[in-house]
Amino acid sequence: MLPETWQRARAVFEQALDLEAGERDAWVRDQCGADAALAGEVLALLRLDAEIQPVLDAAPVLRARDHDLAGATIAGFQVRRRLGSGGMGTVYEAQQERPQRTVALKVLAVQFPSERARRRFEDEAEILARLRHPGIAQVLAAGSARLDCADVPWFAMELVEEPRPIDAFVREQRLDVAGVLALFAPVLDAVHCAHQHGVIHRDLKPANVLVDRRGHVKLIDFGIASLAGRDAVDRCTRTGEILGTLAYMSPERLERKSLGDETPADIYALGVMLYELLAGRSPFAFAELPPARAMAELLAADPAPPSRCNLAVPVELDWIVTKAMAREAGRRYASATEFQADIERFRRNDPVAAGPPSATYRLRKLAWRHRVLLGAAATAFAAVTTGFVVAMVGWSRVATAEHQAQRKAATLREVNRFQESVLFDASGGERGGDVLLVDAVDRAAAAIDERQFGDPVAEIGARRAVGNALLGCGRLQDAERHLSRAAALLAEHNIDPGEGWQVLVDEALAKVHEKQGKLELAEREARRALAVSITIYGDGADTTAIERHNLATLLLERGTGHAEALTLATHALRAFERQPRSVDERTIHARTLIASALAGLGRLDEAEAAFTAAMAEAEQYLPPDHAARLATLDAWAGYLFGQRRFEAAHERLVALVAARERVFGAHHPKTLSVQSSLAATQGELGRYADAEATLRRVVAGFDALGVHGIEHVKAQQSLVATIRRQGRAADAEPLARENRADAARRLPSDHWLVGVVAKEHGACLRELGRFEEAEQALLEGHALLERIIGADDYRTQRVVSELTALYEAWPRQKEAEKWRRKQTGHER
Amino acid sequence: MATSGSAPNERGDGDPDPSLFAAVEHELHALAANLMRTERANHTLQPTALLHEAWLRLSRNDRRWNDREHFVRTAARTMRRVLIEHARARMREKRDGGNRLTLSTDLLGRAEAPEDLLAVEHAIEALEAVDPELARIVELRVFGGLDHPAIAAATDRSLRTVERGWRAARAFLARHLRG
Repeated sequence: MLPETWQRARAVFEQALDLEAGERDAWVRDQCGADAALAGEVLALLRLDAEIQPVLDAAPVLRARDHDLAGATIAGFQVRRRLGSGGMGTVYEAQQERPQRTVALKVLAVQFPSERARRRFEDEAEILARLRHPGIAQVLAAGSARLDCADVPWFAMELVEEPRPIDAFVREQRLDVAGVLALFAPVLDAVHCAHQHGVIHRDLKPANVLVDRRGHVKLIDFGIASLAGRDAVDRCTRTGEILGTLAYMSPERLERKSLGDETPADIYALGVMLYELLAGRSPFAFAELPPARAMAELLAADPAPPSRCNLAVPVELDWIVTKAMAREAGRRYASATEFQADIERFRRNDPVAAGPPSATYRLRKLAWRHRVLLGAAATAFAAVTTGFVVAMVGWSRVATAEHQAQRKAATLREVNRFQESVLFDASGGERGGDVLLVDAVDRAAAAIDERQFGDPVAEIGARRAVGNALLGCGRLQDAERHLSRAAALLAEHNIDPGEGWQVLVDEALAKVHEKQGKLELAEREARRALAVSITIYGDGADTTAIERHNLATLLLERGTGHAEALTLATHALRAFERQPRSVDERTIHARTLIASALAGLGRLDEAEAAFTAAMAEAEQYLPPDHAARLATLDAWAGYLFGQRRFEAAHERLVALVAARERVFGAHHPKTLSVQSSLAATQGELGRYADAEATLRRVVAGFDALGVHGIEHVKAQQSLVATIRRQGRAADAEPLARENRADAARRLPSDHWLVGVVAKEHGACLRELGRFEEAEQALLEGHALLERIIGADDYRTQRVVSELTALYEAWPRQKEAEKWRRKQTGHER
Repeated sequence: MATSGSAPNERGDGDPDPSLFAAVEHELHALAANLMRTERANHTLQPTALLHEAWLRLSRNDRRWNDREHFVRTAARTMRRVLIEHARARMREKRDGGNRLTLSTDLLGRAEAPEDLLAVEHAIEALEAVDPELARIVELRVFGGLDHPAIAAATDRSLRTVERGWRAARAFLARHLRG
């Protein structure tokens, strides 16, 4: 319909509304004159208006008529007083005549319910009736009654007598830790019962967990209604109520990432509740904050462990609560029963399955204070925590003998204490003020060397943690030292690989060696980690999938085993997809790897499709600055660059740089490395001045960070090349010389970059007419590159062209001719 | 930019003015509750969750609102998006199969499936194409939960105009929905 047609019809329609129904027809025809189509349109609209009036306007009117039934008798129930209402039901306290008892009576609050509304109400009663559990208010009877000329469904539930919300009860009774745990066990059990019946509560909070007169807990309000006892907690202001609910909402629900299984969200809420009962306060201190701040607080901050508020809370309970409240749904207890089992383990003094959370905890808080340095380190520490959980799971499978279990628990405690002290220090500790994480890690590293460990395994754990942190800070050499020591200890003491440490140490070493460019070594370690993981955790285990994923990443970095990488990544993806949440960052990572592998195999159409799919999935399921989403963007940009689609690559890299700056700050290795790629793209697009400016920032950033690895050398190399291409060889040469010295000092002598850097220096020297020096540099670069990547590689070929140009300029025609013959035409 | 005398809402940090939010918060909540009643039973967003989802988005919105009416209009628009996106996600989930039974708030028997909500959304889009003014009224009423006087205030129209406009809009939507 055209807007003008509609406007005319609307005008006639609106005027006709003022007329009596009987007069409209003739009036409309009169108004429209010869335009019969218009008249038909208006009349149709008027008919629809009459038809839909009751349908559309019914709802608010009916809701307004939700009157109090107190005093009435419904199906043999004498209604005494209204307890609350919610959704479509109103709950009353009522007296049943036979058998004589007081019940909570829920009545459909709509006077003329649709068939569907009625059915849903009845379903609700049925589902509740299925949940037979002492911790869930039972349905006693259900039916429908004639009320105001309509059949209104109702059901009666057991009434929670003298209800108190569980937190109020704990305060009143001054329950100690043991008392809280005893009270909480049936809550977990009741929630588990509901989950087993496929019922997710979704609104677990103290106000919905009531304790009755006899001290028994009852779960109420399964997302349907406010039930008995609501008035006991109705003291909350509206703001308080909202925030009260907010505090129990899991991060994925807050960010609306949650898809599919909602069990983890219930587990989270249970974790928050247990926290509150143990600590005596909410984990989130935002009662005084305006809502916007409160939201930010919830999404950003990690609460201090409950023991910080209540010294009687032992560290194991800190871990348990933290595990239940883990930000990532996959890290929480898989079920309420598992949650309960861990608490039981604690009560029996057995080692618990939850690991120490403090690393990530403190780090995240710290990270918000100095975002600049912390990104990588935080990742590393998160890996530490995960590593611990993984290690403990592996260990718990192997450790059968009681004394062995105890010995290891002691070991882990020692490691944890060590990490605690390091991180306490990192968070400012008793020194007060902010301490840079690198400094803290340095102190930790020094402390390990001085410390006497009672148990080699404790030392292995500590060294691995510190090694990982150093890796995150880009301190590769130091990281390697600690990790190698850990590896040596594993061998010296014949530690059983079944304990999981071997995998963790190999995994970390592989990452260090990968970053150092010692790819062959890294590959060996990654393969060993995978093999051991298959043996101890099984082929289908999550850990094994992660090791496959790591090895695939490394093979792609080496540029050798694209086919194998493809197989590994596909395998890993299948394993990740079996997890409860079938899409998460790991599946997206794996898809990205698959895309890169396909690209490497030259299957470009498939690669393109895979990148697009991975990116679409990332955009759909992950927030904009999520690491996995950025990694996908990064890989895609790399692929486009490789395809020489520089404009497209440039666009993505600009977005990526902005995101990395937001997440990590301007001077973070990750930000800097993307900026390097951006500069390279700018160079390819002929925008040398832009590229030079970008690269100067990168180099300055690495200098500021004290990072001198491959990335630094690469950035300097690009900077030199960019300056030289602008015809400023004299400016470029000193930098080139410096970079060559750096490369010789910091990189393995057989790294291809050493050869490329030598070539670049040679090119500068040639342009300055310093032919002898140029010749020496170029020949050195050529010899190295020919040996390690072959004569035909484009990088080797560039040196060949350079040498040809040198001898032509000198001029020494015979040599020039000799080198010209070595050109294979691969040079662009 | 002047260093003094700038409007209190133009704080330039992209956050909605918290003091403004405090004043309209209960309205937002009522609005969310109203909306949820027209959503399907195992809608995975509770009214409060919907409110906060919308609030999160409003917080990220870097436009400023000049007054309460503007804020309410933006909020209604945001609510609409949140719900529609959610319905789309539910559709996808439905296609992928596997539905976990959940108990939830309901409903007066209206628009209980995501399909229904999406159909209404299409009709509103069609109305937007021919009569943006009426579409605004629908948005405020359906997604904003505003009554006619409030809509009149928010759109700076007379109550009578709003009432008649609503009936015209309603008839248009009904016609469109009926195909």
